[in-house]
Amino acid sequence: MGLRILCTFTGNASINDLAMAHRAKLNVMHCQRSTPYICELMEEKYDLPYMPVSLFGIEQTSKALRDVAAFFGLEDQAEAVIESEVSKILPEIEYYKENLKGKRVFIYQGAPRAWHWIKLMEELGMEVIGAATTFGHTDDYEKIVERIGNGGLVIDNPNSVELKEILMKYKPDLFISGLKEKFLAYKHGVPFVNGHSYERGPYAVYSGFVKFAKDIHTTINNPAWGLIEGRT
Amino acid sequence: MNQTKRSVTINPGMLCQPIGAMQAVLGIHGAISLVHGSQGCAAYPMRMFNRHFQEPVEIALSSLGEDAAVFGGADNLVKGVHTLAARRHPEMIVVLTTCLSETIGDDIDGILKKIEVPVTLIPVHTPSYVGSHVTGYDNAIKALVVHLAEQTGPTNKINIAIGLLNPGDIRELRSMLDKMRVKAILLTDLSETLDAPLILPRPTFPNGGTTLNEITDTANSLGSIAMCKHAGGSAMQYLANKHKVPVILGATPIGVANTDVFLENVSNLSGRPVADELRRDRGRLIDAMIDVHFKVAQKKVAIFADPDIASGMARFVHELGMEPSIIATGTESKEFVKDVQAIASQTGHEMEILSGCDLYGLHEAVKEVGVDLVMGNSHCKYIADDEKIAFARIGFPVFDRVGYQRRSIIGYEGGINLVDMITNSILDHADAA
Ligand code: SF4
Repeated sequence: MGLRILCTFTGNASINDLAMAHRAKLNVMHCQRSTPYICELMEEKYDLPYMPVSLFGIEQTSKALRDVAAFFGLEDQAEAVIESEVSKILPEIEYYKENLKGKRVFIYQGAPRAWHWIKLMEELGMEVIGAATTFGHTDDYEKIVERIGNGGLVIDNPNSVELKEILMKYKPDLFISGLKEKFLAYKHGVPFVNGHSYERGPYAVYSGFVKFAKDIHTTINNPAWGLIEGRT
Repeated sequence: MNQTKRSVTINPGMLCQPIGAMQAVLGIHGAISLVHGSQGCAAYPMRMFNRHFQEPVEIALSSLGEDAAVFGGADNLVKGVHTLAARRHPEMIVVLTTCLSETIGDDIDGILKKIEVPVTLIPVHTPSYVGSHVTGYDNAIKALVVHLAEQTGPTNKINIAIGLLNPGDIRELRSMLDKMRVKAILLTDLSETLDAPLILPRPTFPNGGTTLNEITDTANSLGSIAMCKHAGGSAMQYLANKHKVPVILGATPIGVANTDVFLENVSNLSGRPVADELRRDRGRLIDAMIDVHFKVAQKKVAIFADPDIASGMARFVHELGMEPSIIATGTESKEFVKDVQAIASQTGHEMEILSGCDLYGLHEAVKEVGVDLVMGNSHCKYIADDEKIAFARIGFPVFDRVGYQRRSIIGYEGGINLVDMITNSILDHADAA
C-alpha cells in the first residue's frame, strides 16, 4: 500500500523505534483493551490520531486496510492489496468452511478477541454458542452481546468449575482459550485451539486467518477424538 | 523407482531366513540353533543380535566348507549335533538349513532321525533364496509345533505367536494378559533370554523362555492368536487344521484400534473380560495422543518395517492425525499390500505401498513423495539424514541408540512410547534445523 511503519508496539519493538513512534501520522490500534490508554495519551500529547482495527478474518482485515487507506487517500492501492491477498487464500478458506460448517464454538479470551473472533468464526461457517473474557469491560460485553446470536452464553471471568460445566453441558465442537484451559478441554474430549499463544500461528491478517482455519480444522478432525471411550 | 524393473538389489531391506528362525529359537528355554551352513550364516546374525539386544547369543554351526559343498554336509551335521549335545547339554537343538545346505540337498530330516542323542532335534528349512527373516521365523515356529504339539487334554490357556518383536513388547503383552488373568503360551518368549539380568553366577542357559512342554501343550489350548500373521501365522493355522485349536490371525496390537481388536480377540478366546485397568491404559494413550496432536498433525510419514508392524504402524500414525504416506516392507507379500490398501481406503490417505523393497527403493520413494518423518531401523538413518527429515527408530536392527529393545511398541503402553518417540523425533529435528 506504500505505507511506512515506524513502530509496532509491543511486537519486537526497539527503543529506537519507540522513540520515533510519535512522529507517525496515524496510530493503528489493535488491542482495544490494553492500548487505548497509550493511544489517547499520544493523541493528547502529539496530536496523533488513532484508529481501532481488527486484523482477524477476511472481512475485518479488509475493513482495517480500507479504513487506514481512506485516512491516507490510498484507496486504490488498498483495493489492489485486498484483491490479490484475498484471492490467494480464498480457495483454502472455502475448503475449511465447507468442512467446518455448523460447528459450535465457545470462545474465552482476554477481552477484544472474544468479539473479534465471533465474526471470524462466522466467516468459517461456524456458530459461536458462547463467549467469555477475563478482563472485558462493559464496552467489550456490549460488542459481544451485539454480535453473538440469540441464546448465546456470555459470561465474565469464568472459573474452572464454570468452564467445566460449559464444556460438559454445551459440548462445543471447539473451545478457543489459553494454555491454562487447554488440558481442561482435552480432558473433556473437547477440541481446542490456543488463542493466546497460538498452536501454529500467528493468526492475524489474511495469511494468519488461513493458519487459524487450518488449526481449527486440524483439531476438530483429529482421529483420536473418535477413539475416546464415553465421548458422545 | 520400481524395484522389479531393476536387476539388482541396492542395500537390501530384509535379512535372510535363518536369522528369523534363530530369533524364534532364542526365545525357547534351553534350546540352541545349529546352523547347517558356512561361517557367515551364523556370524552375521550373531553380530546383529549382539548389537540390537546388547546380549550374548549362542548359535552353533556345522561349518560347511568346499568339500561339504561337493560331497554333502551330512558328516558335519552329525558331528555337530553330537558335539553340541555333549558339550552344551541343551534340551533341544534346532537345525536350520541355509542357501548352501539346501542347494546341496542334504536331507536334514532323514539325517536327524538317525542321530541318537538325549536331546530333542528339530529340523527347520530356511533356504534364503526365498522369503526373508520373516519367513524364517514363520517356518521355525511352524516346525516347532509340527514336531512337538500333542493333544493330551484341554487346558484353559491360549497360544500367542509373538512375531519378530522385542523383550519390551513381550513384557507389555504379559502385563496385558496378567491384567485379564489370561494364561498363555507365548511362541516364543525372548523377554528374559534376550534381556537377562546380570546376576552371578550366570545360569547354564538364560532363565525364562518358552519351555518344550509348553510347545507340546499348544495343541490343547482354547485358541491361538498370531500377533504378526506373517511371522507365526502358519504355525497357528497348523494347530487349527491339525488339532482344531481355533485361530485368529492378527491384529498386530499397535495403536488404539488394533489393540482394541487384539484384546477383544484374547477375551473371546479365553472367556475373560477386558480388564478395567486396560481401559485406563487405553485412556492414558488417547490422552497422550490428544496432548501432542498439534505437534504431529498432517506430518507425512514413511514407515519401513516388517509387514505386520508396518501396517500396524500405518494405522497408528493415522490415529495420531499424521499422514501415512509411504508404507514399506523388505519382505515381499501380497497380503501386506492388501492390508495396507484396506487401511488406505478406510482412512482416505493416499499411500505409496512398497512390498519387497530395498533401502534404495525406499529412499527414491521418500524423495518422490516428500515426507517429514522416516520410521525404520538404524539403516534408515542415512535416508533421513540425506533428506534432512526427522527420524524415529523402529524395527530390527536398532543399534545406534540404546533402549529400543527394552521398550514396547505394542499395546496401549507401547502406544504411549511411540507417541513420545515420534513427537520427540519431530521436535529434535525442528531444534536441530
Ligand atoms: S548364505 Fe544364505 S543363509 Fe547364509 S547368510 Fe547368506 S543368505 Fe543367509
